[in-house]
Amino acid sequence: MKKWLFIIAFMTIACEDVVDIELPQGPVQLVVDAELSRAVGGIEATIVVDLSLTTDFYAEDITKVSDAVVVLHTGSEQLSVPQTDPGIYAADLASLSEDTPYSIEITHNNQTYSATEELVLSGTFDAATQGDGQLFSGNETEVVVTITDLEGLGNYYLFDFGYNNLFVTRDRFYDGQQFSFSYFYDEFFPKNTEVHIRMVGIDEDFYNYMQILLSHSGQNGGGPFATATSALKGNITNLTNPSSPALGYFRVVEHSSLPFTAE
Amino acid sequence: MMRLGGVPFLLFVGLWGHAQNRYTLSGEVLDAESMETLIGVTLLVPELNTGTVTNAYGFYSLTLPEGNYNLVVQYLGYETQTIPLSLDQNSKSDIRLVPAAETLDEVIVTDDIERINIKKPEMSINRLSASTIQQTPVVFGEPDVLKTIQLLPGVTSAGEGASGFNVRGGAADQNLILLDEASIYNSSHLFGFFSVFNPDAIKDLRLYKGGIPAKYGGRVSSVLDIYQKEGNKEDFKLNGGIGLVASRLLAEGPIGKGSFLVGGRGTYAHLFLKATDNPNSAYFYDLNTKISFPVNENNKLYLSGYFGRDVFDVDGSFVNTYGNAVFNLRWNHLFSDRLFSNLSLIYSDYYYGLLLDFAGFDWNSGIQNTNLKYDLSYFANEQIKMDFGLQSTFYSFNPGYIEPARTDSGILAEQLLKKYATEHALYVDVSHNITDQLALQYGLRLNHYVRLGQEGLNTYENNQPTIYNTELGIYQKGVVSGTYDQNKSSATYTHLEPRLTLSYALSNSAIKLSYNRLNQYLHLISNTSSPTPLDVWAPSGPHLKPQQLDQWAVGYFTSYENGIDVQLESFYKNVNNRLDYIDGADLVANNAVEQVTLPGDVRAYGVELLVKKSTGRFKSWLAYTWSKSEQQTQGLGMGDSGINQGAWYANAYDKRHDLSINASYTLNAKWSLNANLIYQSGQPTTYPDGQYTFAGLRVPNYGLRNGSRLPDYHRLDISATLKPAIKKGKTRQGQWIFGIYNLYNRKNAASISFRQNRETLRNEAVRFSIFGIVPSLTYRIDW
Repeated sequence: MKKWLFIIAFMTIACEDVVDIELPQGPVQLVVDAELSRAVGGIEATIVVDLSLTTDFYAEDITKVSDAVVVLHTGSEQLSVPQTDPGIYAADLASLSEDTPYSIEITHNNQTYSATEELVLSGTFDAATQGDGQLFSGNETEVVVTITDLEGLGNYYLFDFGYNNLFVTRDRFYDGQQFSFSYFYDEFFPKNTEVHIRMVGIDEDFYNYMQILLSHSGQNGGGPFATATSALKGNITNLTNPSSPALGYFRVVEHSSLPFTAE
Repeated sequence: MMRLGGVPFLLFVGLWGHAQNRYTLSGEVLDAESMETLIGVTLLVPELNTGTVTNAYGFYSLTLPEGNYNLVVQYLGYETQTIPLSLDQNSKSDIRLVPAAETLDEVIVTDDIERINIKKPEMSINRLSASTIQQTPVVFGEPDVLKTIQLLPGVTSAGEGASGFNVRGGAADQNLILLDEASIYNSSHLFGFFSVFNPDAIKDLRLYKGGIPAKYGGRVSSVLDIYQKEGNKEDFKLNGGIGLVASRLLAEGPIGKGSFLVGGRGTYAHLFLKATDNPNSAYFYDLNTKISFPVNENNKLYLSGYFGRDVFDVDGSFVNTYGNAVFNLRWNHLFSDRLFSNLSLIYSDYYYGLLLDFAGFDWNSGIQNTNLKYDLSYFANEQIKMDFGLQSTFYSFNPGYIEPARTDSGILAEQLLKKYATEHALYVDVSHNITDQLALQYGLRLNHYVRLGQEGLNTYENNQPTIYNTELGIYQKGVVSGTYDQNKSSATYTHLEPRLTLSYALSNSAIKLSYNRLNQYLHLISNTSSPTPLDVWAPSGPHLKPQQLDQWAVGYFTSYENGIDVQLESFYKNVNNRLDYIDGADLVANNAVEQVTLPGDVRAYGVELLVKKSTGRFKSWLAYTWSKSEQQTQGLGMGDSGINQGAWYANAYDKRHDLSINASYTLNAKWSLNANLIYQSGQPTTYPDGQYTFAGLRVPNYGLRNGSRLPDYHRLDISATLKPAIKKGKTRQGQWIFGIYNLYNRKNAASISFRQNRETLRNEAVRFSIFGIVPSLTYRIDW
């Protein structure tokens, strides 16, 4: 008797289900996802700018912006960044310098948007190996990542583990150390398929931005401990009309990647 | 600035000492069976239209003119006693009250007694007895203090599985929770599913939502004052309960002239997790102890202790341990039959530990406080009773010691900045019957708070720990210009807090008014809607200013001959320096939280109705609250507009409508039935007003904070208690409690999250709900 009731009690707690919620409708805004980067230890750099518009939350398609003009400024030099795919604007640079401001300028619908950043240095990405640990569900794939941090800089890292698995970390507790940590892929991660895990060294502001963005994207769930959500502002300002900035972020970074195949 | 202290004190001095031929009757009021002292028992003298109540130690003192009286002693759940009294000398008399046998007849309360009762100058106070808590149906059939007080008007919680409780639109960290006078920092087990108070060990609790007497201070929203039983002084008794989730056992009995009580509770491991081959576990246990020792007629010693721990272990890779420990030594001393004193030495400790083996990370943090209190009560005469005393607390905060969990871990050992503070208070509080109609309780509390010097406290350019970046339109950390000298990093705050409650009696009703000011020097650094064990407390200092509350309330109280009480109250309160957090504030291991906070104001107002029938076969209460609770964070005056453009916005504790109905019916000597109905407006939350892509992710785009609300919360619970007749020659009394929580299986949203489905890649709104229908069965036994 007792056991039977115990099972019922267990089965009815803590469930998630999809519900229909009517949502407010906000104005359409420009979204800028811009990265100027070079490989750790490399020289040449690439700028990639992805331009799109905000849309209804339940909409399936995202509208790309194909009629913008994108320019990169370095000191007195200007580089026009052409569209290579719908909404994607890309160009190569011969090199990047430290302590030099890089600005992008985007003109769209008679509004000019701008952002300025400097190069952020990254530690090295040493290894990515498979572990045999589990987290909550028991169907996770563990990848053990080892990095070597740069001492005394206050470094922050963004990892893209593939298949929409993004993760940020900071050297708050491992400054200047070689450090290993585990990331757990969920059950949708394919086995025996190679992915490239990409590590990017970032600054504190972009780390804070990505922290909020990852929590907004629902990557780390809801529950009673969810933090209060609010509008997420990046570093893109609107020079024509300062009160309506674009969403998104421009960063100048170093990246490195390693292949990983789960068995 | 309110200046309420002066005038009543003059009055008080003027009335002093006109007594002649007066004698004092004093003593204790006790339960006749267990000899447990009873708190808050009303002793009335109808001839003089006056009376008193027993204090927290069951002591009373009545000073009256010489004469013959009928002393009426009245306490809920006990038979009323009328004691003829001929007072011609000072005398001591302990009064024993007999628990009311399950009387099925309506108790008729005489009109004149109710009238005296109702004019007491106290309002916004709810009292709950242990038996009410035991009988209220709750999830899993485990009686629970915090779940029961949430049925009272003006009390809500952030939802199922949320820690703490919210009083009149206040936050959970604004409640002063006292267990035998010791502060408890975390009131919940298992992230809010249970409260830390063992209902079997509790004698009495009262919740002050307003009109807070001057002897309490340090939190702005409410005081929950809980007293543990002392233990049976006559016989050894054992009682226990076996439930689906937790079991408990309590032993009490006499030792010498005194008594002891030991109670323990524990949950079964693996509760919220899967079957038995799973290496994960989540459980809690707690232990309550108390020893009372009467040294002689005028001196008594009490020793109380509490120890509780929660352990949440995921395969050894994530281990979270937290809990309170409290130790309290008290000495009651009677200087005379009119001057009662209590000296308390209290040590309270809150521990939090987190082991993340997969990151090689081990974190230990905690708060310790040592508290010395000396409280005195002077029973001057039938008009005046005076409470006064001093309280001194030393706080030590350890926000965390971080160390590598394994030898191969790259984590560096680090001690986060420890913080220290002291808080001293002097208070005086007077209950004063001015005329037959008018009664006052007035008091004054003087607080002196010192944040002690420490190393590593930052100074900032322009003294601005948080700045506004006008170009990007976001808040950022201020520019650190150095660190304070250790001896200059301190800060001192001194505050005077007036308290006043006024009662004016009409025929069988009373109108009451109250005002109080309170300051809070500790802040719970948390930006989640309900506290998590990980949240760290921070003391006020040069950067974080104390929170200050002013609250006004007005009420109408009436009671009818058929045993129905009606209380209608309206309140308005205002809190300054309530911390708000900048968007995306990172609070974990943050040595400088002042860089991510903004000072704001909170205002809350509302109307509460309580209709209560507490006698007879059918008992019930209905509590309805209409209220608003709003936050305003106007910003720093650096061209910024604050949070939500500096407008008042609903905070997470804003529950517009809150209705609770609790009803119980005693069918016969064996069976009794109980039901709860609860309805609450949905909690304010932020819904997205669009979406975009960034770094390959679909991201919901959020607008203003708390612009939407979760769906309304409601549920119905029922329970039935079966008490089989005691077999001849046996004393064992068993009890079966059958319960169904959330009878119509409503999936109440604890939160709604917005995300892309990992399989279908479509965006969806996902409701997270905690309890559907939960049947339960508990067996309780008393030896």
